[in-house]
Amino acid sequence: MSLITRRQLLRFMGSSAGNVAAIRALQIIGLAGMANAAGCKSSSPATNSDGIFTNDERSALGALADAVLPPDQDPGGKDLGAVVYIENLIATIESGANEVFANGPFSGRQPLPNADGTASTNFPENDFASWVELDRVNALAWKIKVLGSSSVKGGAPNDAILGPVIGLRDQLHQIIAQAVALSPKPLASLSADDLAATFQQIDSDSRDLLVELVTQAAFAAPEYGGNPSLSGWKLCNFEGDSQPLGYSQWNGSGYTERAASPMSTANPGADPAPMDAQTEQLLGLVTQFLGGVTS
Amino acid sequence: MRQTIFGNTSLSKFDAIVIGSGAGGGPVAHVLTSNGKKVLVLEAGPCHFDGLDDPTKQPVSRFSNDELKIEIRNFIETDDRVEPRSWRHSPADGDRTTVGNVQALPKNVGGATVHADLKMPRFATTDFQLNTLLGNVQDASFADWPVQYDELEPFYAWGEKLVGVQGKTGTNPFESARSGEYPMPPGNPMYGATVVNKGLASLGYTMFPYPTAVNSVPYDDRPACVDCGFCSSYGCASNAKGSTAVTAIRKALLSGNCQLHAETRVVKLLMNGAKNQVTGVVAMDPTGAQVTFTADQYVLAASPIEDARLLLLSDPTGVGNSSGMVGRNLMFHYQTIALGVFDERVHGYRGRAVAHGFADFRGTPEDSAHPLGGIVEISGGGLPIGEAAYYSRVLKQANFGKWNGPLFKNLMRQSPGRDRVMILVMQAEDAPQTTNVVDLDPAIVDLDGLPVARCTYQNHPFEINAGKFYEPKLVDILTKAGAKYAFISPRDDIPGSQHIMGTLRSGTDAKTSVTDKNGKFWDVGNLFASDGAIFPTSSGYNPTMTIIAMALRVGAAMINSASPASVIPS
Repeated sequence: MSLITRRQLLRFMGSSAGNVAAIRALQIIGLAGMANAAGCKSSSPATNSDGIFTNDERSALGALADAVLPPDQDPGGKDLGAVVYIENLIATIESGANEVFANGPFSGRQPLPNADGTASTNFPENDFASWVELDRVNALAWKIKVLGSSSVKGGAPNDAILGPVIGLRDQLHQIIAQAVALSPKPLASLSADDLAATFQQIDSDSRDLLVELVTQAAFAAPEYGGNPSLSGWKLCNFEGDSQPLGYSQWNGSGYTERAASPMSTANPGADPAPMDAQTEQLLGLVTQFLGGVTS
Repeated sequence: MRQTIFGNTSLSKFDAIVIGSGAGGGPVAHVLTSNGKKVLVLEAGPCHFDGLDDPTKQPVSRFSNDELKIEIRNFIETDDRVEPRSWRHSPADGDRTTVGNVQALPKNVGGATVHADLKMPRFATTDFQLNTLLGNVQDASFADWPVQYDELEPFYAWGEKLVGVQGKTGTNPFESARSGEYPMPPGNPMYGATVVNKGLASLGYTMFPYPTAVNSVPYDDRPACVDCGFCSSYGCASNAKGSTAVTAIRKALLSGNCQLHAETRVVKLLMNGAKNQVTGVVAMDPTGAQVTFTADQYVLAASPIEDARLLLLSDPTGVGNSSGMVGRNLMFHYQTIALGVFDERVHGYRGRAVAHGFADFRGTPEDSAHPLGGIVEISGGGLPIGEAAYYSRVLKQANFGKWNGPLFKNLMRQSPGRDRVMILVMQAEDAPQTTNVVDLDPAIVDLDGLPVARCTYQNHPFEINAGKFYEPKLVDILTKAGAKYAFISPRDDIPGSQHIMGTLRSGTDAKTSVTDKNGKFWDVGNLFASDGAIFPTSSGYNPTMTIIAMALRVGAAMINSASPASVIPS
């Protein structure tokens, strides 16, 4: 194991809670309380016919997704497909279709290479459009995650000690209801500032869950229901899945790389989004807080 | 309907049952079947290589460049909702402090070699002699290995050919003597490593191409790696990665002497009355029904924690446990992780996770001025969903829990935590301690109602002090390489290295070890262990190449115990 994983990334700041001085410093330089999303009209997401949410719930969930990723020059959380993504996951477990893991190896978004390592005009089929059949263990795990341990036969062997697992389906109904109750108007009609303020009033664990799900929708492969037209990957300047072309093709005597996305050399052209002062302030304080070095 | 039984399905009588198909099990199955033995491999997880036993074409991988599937939805790692483990630092903590993901490893055909980026350095000569070289270390249980480097070297060479390792002899000044060149030359370098090398060179450290079981050129009917960027934690979409699934296990299946049952989890060893012979195994089949299999010999290769758990599930005192050492000396590598954020986009996510490393921080056993740390991997950042989780965590703390959507979105665009970061990961020696132990949790069970493994573990000052010694040096390297911000990542309460060793220590004394130098249990005549469980110490190098070399030797000893080396093919 070497590449930093999600678990390692989560761990990164995990033990830093409690350093009040550093966090206050962040506030002083203005990083606290900056939720002022720019207004940007967006279209409604596609609806799912499986009926996990009512139309009002879908509308509210879309608004909450926009609180996580506010629309600006790039799409917000709603237009990045958050509602479809979430509803797809719950529906597939409820129905027993269990379409949790897209198949492999290729999505068909990248071409096969030529013999000299350059990109050909031949594209493989999209294997991501089919799904891996779940084994006995995974099927039970996903039922518990989505439907809750008390709703699944054999799903609660440790509940007496650890407490029940509340399913994603019930959590989301509760979160939406909570947010709706906090707002004097339909969430979708709130201004960006009011939406951010309402989002902030939701309990912390629920906010975390929404952030998690909305960002999954935005930055996962589009076959899962989000990231429409690869808009999430474009937002973060990520090339997405790269097989079978990859970043470096053996050509018989060396390696051929993608001109726009090289592996062994620096990127060509200008940085599409250089770090701004706010990002650098944050990095400086994180570095200071962790006892590191800023050059 | 997915395939769960592979290979020669007409076989019904077996010379050996191998429990597990990863770095420990795959090579044993390969050695035995290539020497005419009939082998049944029982693997708890599914097979994600369609056509693994088809001789006419390469298997088709179900793995893909899909971050959600692997990192978030947990395609191959054991799921802690149904197969948790528990954790505590000492008995003073009570029954447990945590239930959940405790060093979970992938559960599928090929084991952890499927998800690992397969960094394959060998251990060095001195790593096998640490009791002699270190002397008494208080509260630690360092031991010399019953097999020394020179004896293992030909098995290292065999293993490197089997899984296909790229590298270059002579580039790592700390590497022990090799009998030959690596099977493949190093692959294409990653740009970020060349940036980091500016810092290394200025400080007099030596960067080298990391030995890796990933094809740099076409090899063994498998293609060259295309450096797709989805490597560490990911199964390979093209079979360029030499996991034991597509190398050792596939060769065993194609021999005609092997049958593999996937999704078949062994839950009990059946013993004779004297408890000195295994008479069969009970397993849960893909439907959850109990089935029994028998053979003449049995090999444990389910990973150190699950090996120990199975021995304890089979007998309350532990099968083969007259020494009282079953489950003890549990080790993980002590990772120190330094991050450097650069002004430029160093795009460290493009490539095979790690292309280079350095070993200047491995240290010298006899020299207190150079404590035993470990090899350092030079890697890039993660992928966008993980990146988003990282920023959300940082912002939550930075803003007293208040969400800041616009800033979060800007971070995703500017990508300091993915596109601009380079990471140094030191895999340091973890001192063995008899008090670091795997046993059964007294109350927590898995989906089948079986007690889960409980790890009682705390770090020794040996590795803590070494980590502190090297932390500023790692930061200095990144700073001198041009990083604008460089710092050490805080450690988690439960180590996340997924390098798991010990629990069935091998040795020369039945009173202080569980297995002998051939991996054979002292107490059980027909039971062997062949994975990282038999390691007496952890070294400061990635363990997989040594697991494979030792497993090949265990298999060879099952063929010829007097001269395992005679089994090595010429």
